[in-house]
Amino acid sequence: MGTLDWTILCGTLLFIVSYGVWRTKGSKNVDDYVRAGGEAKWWTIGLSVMATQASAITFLSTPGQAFHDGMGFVQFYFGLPLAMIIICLVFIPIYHKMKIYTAYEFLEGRFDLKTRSLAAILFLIQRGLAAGITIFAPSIILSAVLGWDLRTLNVIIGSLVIIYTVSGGTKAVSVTQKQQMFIIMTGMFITFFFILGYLPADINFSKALKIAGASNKLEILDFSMNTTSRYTFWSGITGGLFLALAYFGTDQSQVQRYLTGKSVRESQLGLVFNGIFKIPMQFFILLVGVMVFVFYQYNPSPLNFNPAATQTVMESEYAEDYRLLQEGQVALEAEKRIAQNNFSAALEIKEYAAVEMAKQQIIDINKKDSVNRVAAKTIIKQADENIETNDKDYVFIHFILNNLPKGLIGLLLAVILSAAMSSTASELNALGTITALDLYKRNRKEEQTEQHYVKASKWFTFLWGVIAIGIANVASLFDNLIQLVNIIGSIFYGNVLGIFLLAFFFKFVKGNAVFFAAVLTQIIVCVIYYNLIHIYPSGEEKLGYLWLNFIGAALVIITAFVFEAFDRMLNRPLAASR
Amino acid sequence: MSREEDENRAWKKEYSIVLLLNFIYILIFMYIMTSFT
Repeated sequence: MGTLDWTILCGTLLFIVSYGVWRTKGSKNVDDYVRAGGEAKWWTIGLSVMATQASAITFLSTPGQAFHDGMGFVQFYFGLPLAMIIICLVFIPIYHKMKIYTAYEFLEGRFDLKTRSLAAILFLIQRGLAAGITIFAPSIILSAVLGWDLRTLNVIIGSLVIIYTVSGGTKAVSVTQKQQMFIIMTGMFITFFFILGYLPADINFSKALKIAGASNKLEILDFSMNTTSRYTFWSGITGGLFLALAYFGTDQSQVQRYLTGKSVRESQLGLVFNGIFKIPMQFFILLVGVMVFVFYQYNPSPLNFNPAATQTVMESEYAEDYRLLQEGQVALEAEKRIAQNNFSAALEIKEYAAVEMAKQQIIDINKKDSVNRVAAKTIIKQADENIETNDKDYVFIHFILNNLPKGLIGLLLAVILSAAMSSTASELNALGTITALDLYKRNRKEEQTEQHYVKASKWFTFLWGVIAIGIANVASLFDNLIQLVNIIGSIFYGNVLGIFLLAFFFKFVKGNAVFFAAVLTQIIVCVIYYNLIHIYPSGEEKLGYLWLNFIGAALVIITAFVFEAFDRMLNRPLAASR
Repeated sequence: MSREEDENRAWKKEYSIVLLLNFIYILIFMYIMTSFT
């Protein structure tokens, strides 16, 4: 990294932080601090919702996902537009009508205090852990690639977020997210055009797509009913809808974004904005990854993009085996370039038979390429079985650092750190709000001033920031913490979504039934997790953890029905005797 | 339920636009799949 990169990186980050602090200083009351005064326009809400969901990992991992597995991942988002419409029709009107600050406040109005507190605590556990990982995940990748100290990076990202989130609350989060989204999209667009510029002179965009297509990278839609395939059209529409409903409808880090809306209409339009632009945005990020793939058809690439993995194996007794494999890969890359040139020439003369022949040649070479990469992973594992061999998170950052010009590297690093900061800011903001309002304020006996609760919200946000940095710093002690956090999220998400679905759609179910159903469900889900998932850490679990979302939601709804029925049966004679 | 609440819960043309555009995205994806592979 040169001086220009450092200047752009530091300048961008400092500008965002100081702008956030300057624009939003001096919150007068809780409404100002927690709902940004309820003055936000739809585009602010839309950008804020998108920035919250798009973390650094989105921009590091997604292009790598496309590089290795093609663009099928976009199907994961197919349920999201439907979820946006359901939230606009059902969730937002109720939230606004009740003038709530937190999603769980609604549960007290609909059920009772204990249900509200239970949902709030479940949220704090899972989101608190997730906030730590949102900081840790980009730090571990950037520290491996750039050689920066992991803990210092955690502290820098966390502290920058704490400064403006504590100072300006929700308004600061929204204001900075607009800048961050601008930087993120500008950086990604510039990179996209740079990649196209790096391709050989005779390869235009259309040909680049043909090259990607020949290697099955453009298999975007899969209409099969195959349940073993992770991303299909049907799993996207059903599972994606379910997850998006839980995330956007009940997770305070998202709910707080659209509660800032000036009116119901502004909040609804903010989510409509997300429903329109989310899939194109994800498609574009995947397309960047596909173009990186095309770039590496003409340029040498490492066998494994994780530099720490390569270094480990080269310092081990397996170095010679790995070197031989690398030599084989170099020869294969030369073969690959010839095959791509043949393919391109065949496309030029529009000779169908020649195109098909060249395509088959490319498919054969890609198979050999995959075999080499799998062999490389095996050798790396032999050298050190603890090292991460899945290198999809490292593909894009490797491309950035080794190919982009000075200045743009700094901008792209600013993109990644901006994304990390925008997600973390929403999380800390939500964690502070929930702790201050759902737990602290609601359980205090004596009345306090508005300023007192603003101060309390600030302190709790600060505290959660420190906890998040702490979690990020100990995260490396655990082998697979990112996976673990996803599992913990799944353990709680289904239950919370079920509680909200009961609140919205089943008016006859009352507080006691829901509370005890939620407690019982949580215990059963934990037992299911322990017996079917946890005991098989080798990955041979009997049940995919994503199913916990569905099981939790279904179970809480069914048990609440049963409890409500019992409650009514027991109370009926009493009511009749009155 | 007040008139305003009814309006807030009513189907709006923006929702139809979301559905229509996302349907068009899927058609574009199908076009890309068939034309470039």
